[in-house]
Amino acid sequence: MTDDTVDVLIIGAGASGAAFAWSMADTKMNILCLEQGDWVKSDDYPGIGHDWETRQFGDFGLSPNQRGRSEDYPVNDSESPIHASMFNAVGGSTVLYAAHFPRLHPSDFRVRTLDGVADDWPIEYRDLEPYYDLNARMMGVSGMAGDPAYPPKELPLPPLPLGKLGSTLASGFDKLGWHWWPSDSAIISEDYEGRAACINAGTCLLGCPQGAKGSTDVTYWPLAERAGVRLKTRCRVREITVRDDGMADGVIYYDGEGVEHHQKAEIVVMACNGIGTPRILLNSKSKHFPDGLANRSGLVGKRLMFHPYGLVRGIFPEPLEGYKGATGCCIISQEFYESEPSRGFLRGYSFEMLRGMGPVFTAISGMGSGHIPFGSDHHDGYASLWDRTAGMVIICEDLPEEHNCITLDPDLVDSNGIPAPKVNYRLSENSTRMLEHGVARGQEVLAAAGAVDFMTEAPLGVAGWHLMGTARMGEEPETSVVNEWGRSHDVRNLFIIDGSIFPTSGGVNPTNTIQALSLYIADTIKKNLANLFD
Amino acid sequence: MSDSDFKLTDTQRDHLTAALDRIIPASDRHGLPGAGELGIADFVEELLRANPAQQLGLLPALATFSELIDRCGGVDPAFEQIQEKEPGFVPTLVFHAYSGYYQHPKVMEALGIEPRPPHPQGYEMEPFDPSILDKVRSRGTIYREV
Repeated sequence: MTDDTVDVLIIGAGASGAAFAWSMADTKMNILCLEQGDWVKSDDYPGIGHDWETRQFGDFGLSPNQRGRSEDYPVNDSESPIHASMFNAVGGSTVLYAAHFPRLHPSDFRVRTLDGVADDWPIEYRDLEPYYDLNARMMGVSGMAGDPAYPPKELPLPPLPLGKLGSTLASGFDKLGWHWWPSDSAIISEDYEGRAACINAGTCLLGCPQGAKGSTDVTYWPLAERAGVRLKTRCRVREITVRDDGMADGVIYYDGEGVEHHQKAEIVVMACNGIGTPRILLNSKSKHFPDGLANRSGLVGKRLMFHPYGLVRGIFPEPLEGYKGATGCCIISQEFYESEPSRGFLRGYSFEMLRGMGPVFTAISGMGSGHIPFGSDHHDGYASLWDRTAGMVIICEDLPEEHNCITLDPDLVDSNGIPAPKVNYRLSENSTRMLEHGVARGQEVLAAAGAVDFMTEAPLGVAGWHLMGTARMGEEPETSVVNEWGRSHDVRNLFIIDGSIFPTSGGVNPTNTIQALSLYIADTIKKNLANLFD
Repeated sequence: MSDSDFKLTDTQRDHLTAALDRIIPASDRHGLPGAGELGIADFVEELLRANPAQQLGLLPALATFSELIDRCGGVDPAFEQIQEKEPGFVPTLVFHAYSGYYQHPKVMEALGIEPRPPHPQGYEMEPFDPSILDKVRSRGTIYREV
């Protein structure tokens, strides 16, 4: 079935696709977005039920392999110590993210110049700065101006509460004289733009029934649809098709009934994340592109970056009321963010504080760490952990390496028979040393805050939620897939706007930068409409 | 796909309840019932009803546990032996026991939290107090200028 031609076709309704769609709506072009998932309704979220914690091990798990819903596609990550996490729905992975919303630092755009490794970005912090500001207003970001780890920035809402847990952890940083600051969070601390404020329920990683967390189904999409953008759900793209002249002419997709469509488009925009985008490109082979679309550089799927995570939890002697409050968004420390070679590694990492655990997750986590046995000592073990844990994740900058990559699995397919992605990833020596440093410093600061025992895990196997680098941006067609505004070097009406285009990863959550980039790319397209394909 | 007709037999329920009480026993000191006594067998039954694939992992091992109870003359020695004969049985049951027990309203109350889901009421917290940042501010900027 061939559908009517649209001006702009966006693949994916997550973080970047939503922001891009909203920005492009004012052109009044005919814009269509295809999303393989569906809308998640408020009463679908686990947080309204007693079983909310256990559903993270089932239908609201982070891993598509674990969830196994028809709208998810499987990922073969058996050859990676870090496992892929994502969510397929309107809002994409913002539906389940923690909503940490830090920006990259100015130095993150000049990694080669400053530290002699990886690459510089073809744009600078000041290019993205106005789009970071715009995105903060659109997503509803809570935080505090004046963070000494950043150039000045404005945030529309005051910080989320620290609570007893946050204040306790802050005291540890203050004792050591280390940097900390209330997190920039895409969670609204006050009623904002028709959305109700956060009620400190602590279910962020399972979706927010309140709508206080800035997932793009409650931020950008209602505005984009009102402005005329069409969004079709349960539509999974198999491949991008090309004309005889090598330009993209649309996509082949399956609708929710499994019917194959050919959707024609003047411009194709990929917003499918750092795994989904190379998967579709590599599956789009033609006589013009026998190695996959837009892949004359050979770099599509290569240079995958995850952000290796470490986890350090402290056990405290007193209750911390840690089950209250936004799960991940408490405080951040960037004491060890900027490069200092004397530490034994290049680049750096952030600490992001975690709230405590709910009753069920306390038990499951304690079972895994050996603190909560079954049998006669069970209740004493549980009492030693319940509401007495607080800790942090360590987010390490991951340097790009070509052997870390996404390819097409020769056997595994999704529910439409489309080849699934395969992840090959090894932790680098630099990342290993950085993680060791972070775990040691994490225990040091938790001890300063009063912790008497620790639980650690590094690398954190479940933490494959930041997917970057697999279609990098750059000025040279030989060494990059897209140019400095996301346009494919090889296919001039094909744009990529998700985390795939990051040349380097920084050491912070990427969503804010992904969205700022997509807004920047949309604006650049609008400025160049007259000669877009030149 | 769920198996809406699934139901534990009386024997399966009795022996599952006994195993659950070995995993989380009652504690007078902590004021908490055992997991079997609290009816967590119902939680496991519902789980097996909703996820029939898990029946294959649990029910044959539960049958072995029943045989051991008859053969050994009691639950305690059978619980020891099942851990050798079916090494996956107890860890699986521990996971389910912990999951069901700690979302039960009676246990939540005993832990000092309201026996309700987090939404829609949420929790009260004191608003952020900016004065806590004075020490951090005093250090000045720490980012690299480019």
